[in-house]
Amino acid sequence: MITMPAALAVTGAGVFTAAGRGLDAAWEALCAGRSFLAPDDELAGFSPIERAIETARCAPPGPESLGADRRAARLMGRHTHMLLAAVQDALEEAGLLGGVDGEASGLSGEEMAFFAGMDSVDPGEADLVSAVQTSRVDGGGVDLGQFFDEGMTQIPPLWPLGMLNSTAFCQVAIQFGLRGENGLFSPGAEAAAQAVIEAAESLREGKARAALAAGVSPVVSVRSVARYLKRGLLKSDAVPGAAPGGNPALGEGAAALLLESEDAAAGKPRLGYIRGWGRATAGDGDLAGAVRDSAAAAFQRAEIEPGQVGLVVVHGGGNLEEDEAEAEGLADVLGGHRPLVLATKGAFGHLLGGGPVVDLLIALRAMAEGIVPPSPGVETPGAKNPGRDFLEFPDSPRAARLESVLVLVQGFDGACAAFAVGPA
Amino acid sequence: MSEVLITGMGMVTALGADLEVAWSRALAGESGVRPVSSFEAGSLPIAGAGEVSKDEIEALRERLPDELASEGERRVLFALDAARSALADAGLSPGETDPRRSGVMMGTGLSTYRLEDFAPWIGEREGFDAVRFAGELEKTHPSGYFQNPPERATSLIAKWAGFRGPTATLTSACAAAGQAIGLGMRVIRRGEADIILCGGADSMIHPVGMAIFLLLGAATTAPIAPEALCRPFDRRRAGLVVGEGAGVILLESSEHAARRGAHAHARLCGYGSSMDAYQVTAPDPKGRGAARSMSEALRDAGMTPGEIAYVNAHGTGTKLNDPAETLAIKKVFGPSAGKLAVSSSKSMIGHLIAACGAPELIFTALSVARDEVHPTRNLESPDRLCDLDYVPNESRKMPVPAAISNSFGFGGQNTTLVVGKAA
Repeated sequence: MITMPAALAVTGAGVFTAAGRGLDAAWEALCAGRSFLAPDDELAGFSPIERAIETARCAPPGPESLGADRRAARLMGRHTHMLLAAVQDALEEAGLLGGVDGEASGLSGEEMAFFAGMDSVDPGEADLVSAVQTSRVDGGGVDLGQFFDEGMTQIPPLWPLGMLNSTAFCQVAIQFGLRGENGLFSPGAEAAAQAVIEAAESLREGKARAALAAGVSPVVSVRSVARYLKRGLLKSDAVPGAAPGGNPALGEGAAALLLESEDAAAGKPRLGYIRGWGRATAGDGDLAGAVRDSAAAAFQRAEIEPGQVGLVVVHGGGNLEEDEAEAEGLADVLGGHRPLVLATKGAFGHLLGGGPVVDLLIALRAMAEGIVPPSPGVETPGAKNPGRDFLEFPDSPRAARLESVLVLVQGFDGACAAFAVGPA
Repeated sequence: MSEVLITGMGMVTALGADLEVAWSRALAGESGVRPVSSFEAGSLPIAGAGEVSKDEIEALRERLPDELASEGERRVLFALDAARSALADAGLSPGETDPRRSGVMMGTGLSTYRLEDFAPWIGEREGFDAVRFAGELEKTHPSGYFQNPPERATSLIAKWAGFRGPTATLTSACAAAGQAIGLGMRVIRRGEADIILCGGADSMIHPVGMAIFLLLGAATTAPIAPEALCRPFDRRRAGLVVGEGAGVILLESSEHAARRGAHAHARLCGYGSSMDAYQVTAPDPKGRGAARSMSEALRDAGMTPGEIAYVNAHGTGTKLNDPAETLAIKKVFGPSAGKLAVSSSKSMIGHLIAACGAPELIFTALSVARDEVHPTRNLESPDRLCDLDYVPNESRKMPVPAAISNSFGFGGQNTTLVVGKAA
């Protein structure tokens, strides 16, 4: 049983990518065909991948410029800065910055739901160095007696907070007075998709009057690259080449969107609407089936036919097998229909938890502008795989009247989601 | 909107991995808190933890299918066994349900940061050699952070059970399991699935984990017997006692349960969540966020405060939580707060951190199903700021038509679940 209540208006957007701060910066970069992927000097000596690792890092503003007090700022990593910037911009665009709890908005913090997706935060080993050196025994191990007696006392007391991803989430809530329904999902793109779904449902079920959905990437570092190599997201034997289809490249960024019911959004400019969503899990296999099922559920909720879709923003993570499964699932659900296709990861890198919200906002902008931008890095779709040759990625901005856009998400372990969005 | 039933339950805690045994021990007010034995803890300034015994772990490895029994990370092992128990308790087998209509939602916490994962790459004078470390990643501990992502339990349960519907992993600190269960209920209500296995799993009983709670000043270092350490609502409470384990419940739509003639333990009928937005390091002392969580859950259940007989409290035994939770309960229940029975499972199993909401919900469901509530152990000298009926030290038989279970996360995320009798 799938039911579809009224569509939900997107009234605020915050985007922070390697292109800079704001949806405009990301959109203009995409339309210009720019890629921010570049060899990463910090990772140059990293042995598991022989060639230079490409990443797309971004430089978020400092916490003080985002309004955080000095004490709170001490606990914030760059992932928190990115998330704060994105949420701040989404609230501002919706006319709620400084207005949550304010008379102007007529909205209290209790009425604002907040859901987000983000991965684990890598621990700050620098804070452990002294403790380990104090407790070390011959052979390189640690004497636990020495560690608890002396070593531990050399670890900064607030060290644990920095590696809790919920610390970042709660700091954002404190900063902006968000006190309503909430949830924090982990670890990858599927986590941000869950956040958007639950934000939408909290509105539809009357649990909130406005709902923020956000996602943020991990900070790119040797540690995060090592983790994703271990997980198979990155591949040490990958052939250098363009994403999608080559080697996924990590990016940094965050995005947030503010959802309001049609009534609550009255009088406000809208970026567009989230009309339907779906999700499915591949389990031990059949990733294509999970892509198909999630897209089919999104169509059903949105009460649209596949033929109404003018553009598909694919997950396009750059992993060859997953890209092929995505194409296969897409072909299944679209039947003979062939919409245009866009992949953003060749421009901004793979943002994991940050990616789905960026893609949703880009989809809304594409509808508003009537333009499908090119997909940086996609040069020969389907060249190695005839199953993908139906994917038409424009090689320059192409005018298109877009009635509906499908946004696809693939997460870890085969968790897939899809969103059907419509124009303002 | 579908009614949501609890048709299967499984848990692993310091009171055991058998539901009936754990419940009878909880009713008897037994403590599962004992000296830490899973690592050399001679100098650890903490007298005990709610640790799952080595024998229990060996037994559950024997119960699990071969492909899962070799799992190295304790929390994942606990999750798998609790899921196995919950599915069996519901009278189901892996692969028996419609895969697209069956999902998994689990709450979990920090992965296990092991000193062995840092120490070899820290020199005598130099800092952490990240590049060398990354190149030697295979040398990190197989059950440590770098090899065990947060969604591992969710994914393994889904694969084992053959579930291909919605899956999600919540990491909302101590509210994570409560949120996973609450959102699991919503998924069924909105018709997205018929069955959700949901709950939480966590283990912070390892050197870095214990150090974390000491550094934050949250853990009790009282030099007293382990079984007396955790003292929720008591004047001499001195902090939380870390526990470990998992709880998994099988939520099922009433229509689906009726079709297969399933027995329901209880009905999950309400979920509320809120945020304090107060401080990262402390709960709102006025309990405003906690009160909203309870009020929203009651509203969601369509119940009035007067219909609730029992509160399974978050009840950590910390100086800050217990009076704030008491205030919040009074705020929501008003004059009827004094008639409530309130107890803390943590007084016996410790604080299971991200997982805490799951076994505590199971105890709550059993209270509703059997009209009996477990006590708050070690409550000898009530704090004047904690002046409700906390069912001190002895269980109580009483009518429990409905109950709530609270979980409040570090940083200010609050969750409440409402349980009612199955029809």
